[in-house]
Amino acid sequence: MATPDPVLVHDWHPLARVEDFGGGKVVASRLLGEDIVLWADGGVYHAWKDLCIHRGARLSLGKVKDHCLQCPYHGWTYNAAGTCVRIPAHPEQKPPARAVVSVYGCREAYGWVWGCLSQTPNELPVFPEWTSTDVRNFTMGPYAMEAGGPRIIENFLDLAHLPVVHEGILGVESRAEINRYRVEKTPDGVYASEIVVWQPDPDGSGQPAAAHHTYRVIRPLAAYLTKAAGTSVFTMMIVATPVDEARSKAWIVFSMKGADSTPSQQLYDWTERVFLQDKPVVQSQRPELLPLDLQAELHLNCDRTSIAYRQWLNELGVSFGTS
Amino acid sequence: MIDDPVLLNDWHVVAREGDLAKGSVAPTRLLGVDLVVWRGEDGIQVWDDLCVHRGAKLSGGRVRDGCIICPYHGWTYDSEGECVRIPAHPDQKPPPRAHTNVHPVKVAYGLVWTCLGTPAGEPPPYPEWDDSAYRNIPCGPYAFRALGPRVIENFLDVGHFPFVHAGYLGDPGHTEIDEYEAVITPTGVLARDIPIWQPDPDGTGKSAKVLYTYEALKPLTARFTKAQGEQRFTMIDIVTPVDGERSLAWAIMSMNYAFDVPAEKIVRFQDEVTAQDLPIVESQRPELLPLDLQAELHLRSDRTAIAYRRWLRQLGLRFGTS
Repeated sequence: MATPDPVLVHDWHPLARVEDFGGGKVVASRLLGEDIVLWADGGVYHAWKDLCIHRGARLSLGKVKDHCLQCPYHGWTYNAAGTCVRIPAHPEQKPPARAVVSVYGCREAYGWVWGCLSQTPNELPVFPEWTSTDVRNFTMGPYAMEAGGPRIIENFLDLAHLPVVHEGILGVESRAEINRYRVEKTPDGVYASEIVVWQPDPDGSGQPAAAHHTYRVIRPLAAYLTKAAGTSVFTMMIVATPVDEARSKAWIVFSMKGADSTPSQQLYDWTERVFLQDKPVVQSQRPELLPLDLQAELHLNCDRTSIAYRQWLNELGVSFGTS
Repeated sequence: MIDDPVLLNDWHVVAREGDLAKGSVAPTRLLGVDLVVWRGEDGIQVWDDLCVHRGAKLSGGRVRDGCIICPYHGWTYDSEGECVRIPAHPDQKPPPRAHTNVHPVKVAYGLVWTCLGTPAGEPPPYPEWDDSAYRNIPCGPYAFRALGPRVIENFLDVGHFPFVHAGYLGDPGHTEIDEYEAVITPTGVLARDIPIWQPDPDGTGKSAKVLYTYEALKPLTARFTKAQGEQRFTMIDIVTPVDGERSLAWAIMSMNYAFDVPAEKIVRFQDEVTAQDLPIVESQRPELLPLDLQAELHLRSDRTAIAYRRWLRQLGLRFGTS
């Protein structure tokens, strides 16, 4: 791996959607600078290093056959454990012991297939509403971003941009002031609360309200928001998959409790619209790597969540996508 | 940033003045530095394209009341580059570090020039611009995936006319180049009165033998004048070093004849000529112009290029050379 990160290698990262595997499709992905092949067989997902040890061809160009993945170049055939069980050029010969692929952790959650490069994974980020019966759940993405994961998460936590980037939706220019709010940094993450922002359309239901926000950073590249506005509660988790240091994929799962008269498509479109307003600004940020040294950029009172986030990343020792 | 003292302390073109209406904002890039060019109440500004708060590009923002507003959190910068307003904390005086790097600006020949270092000297002279005997016709900018020294050397080259510009600036039946001299002067390189037979020297459609006089005025600026009797066709080529891979060539043509030929026709002719040069110049390897004269082959017809390379070495130009 080009730049191993001591923290992120142990985290789960979404790599593909379940529907990407339709018709036995093999999926090429990339995580932390490492090329990965994903394939599925009988509802079981596999994430491997995307490399056949024979001549270095990409297994992701191959195909699934008889519960195995077959290399596109010389047909070397790997079973679900990643062991080569057949070399077509020498059908009688037992494949050499070194003919194995590196196998990574792989699992499914929220309709996404997640991978972990380490054998000792951390907990998967939990989106509690997923199993609730009184909410509507949605997933969105992945969105390819020319930006590092920490910049994406920090933008998700950012308050002062709401009346500027999302003017008329999540804030109004004439009421851009951010009041003092609470921020706590714990070993498990960052928690920001008591944030009240007046918003013209806080959740896509079109009802203006004072929106009460609570943010929680769950993992270095996963954060969660609860927003109570009027009679509805909107929650959202964003997960940034670190493709390379300055490239990511953003995944969103959100839920709506209440606002029953608002069509689901409208809620989905609203969330996507807001996200796409952020995208060009986040992609423009320089340096691409989030500076953990707090002297490097300017921080004001309204930025206390991002200060805590940067400090927490620093304490954890996250190096990928930071400087 | 590309660290070449010669270019850092020189003036470079970043925009055409006429493209910058009041209130306009545009991103550009010079020597590997992202810049924002905008026009407020106090004229044209060229700054680092970065809001110090969260590193967003100011060129994504907008101009209001003579200030530029960052697209991310609305930090508002006045024409001095000082942050004067932070919407999230309207009552707080912005911290002293909340400013951006402001670069000097000059407007000359309808072009906007800036300098990333300490300006040494002025933009190159171009007397035809203010000479009423001439009509001035801007063209370009032409985007090259090549570096300035290769672009300028191609501009100074006469031997390629019959091949790259057959039917335009040269003829495959007239490939020989007569003797000429090229000298290094205190201000650059000068190659005077090179005779060239051309099928259509100026886009008016008539063949003639013309005399070319070339001058390199700056490491990345050159001009020529074609003389044919009393007729003069002059062109200046000003190359902006965008970054370590790309250049932008801005040009002005000046003519003391053919006032009845529409400017669009003359520009189109020049666009076609540049389109012929582009793939060749972009294909040249090494990308860095070798200043060691042993590295490539030089003939008598290449005297201007030889003088140009020697002059660049005297100047100590590092960018785009090896």
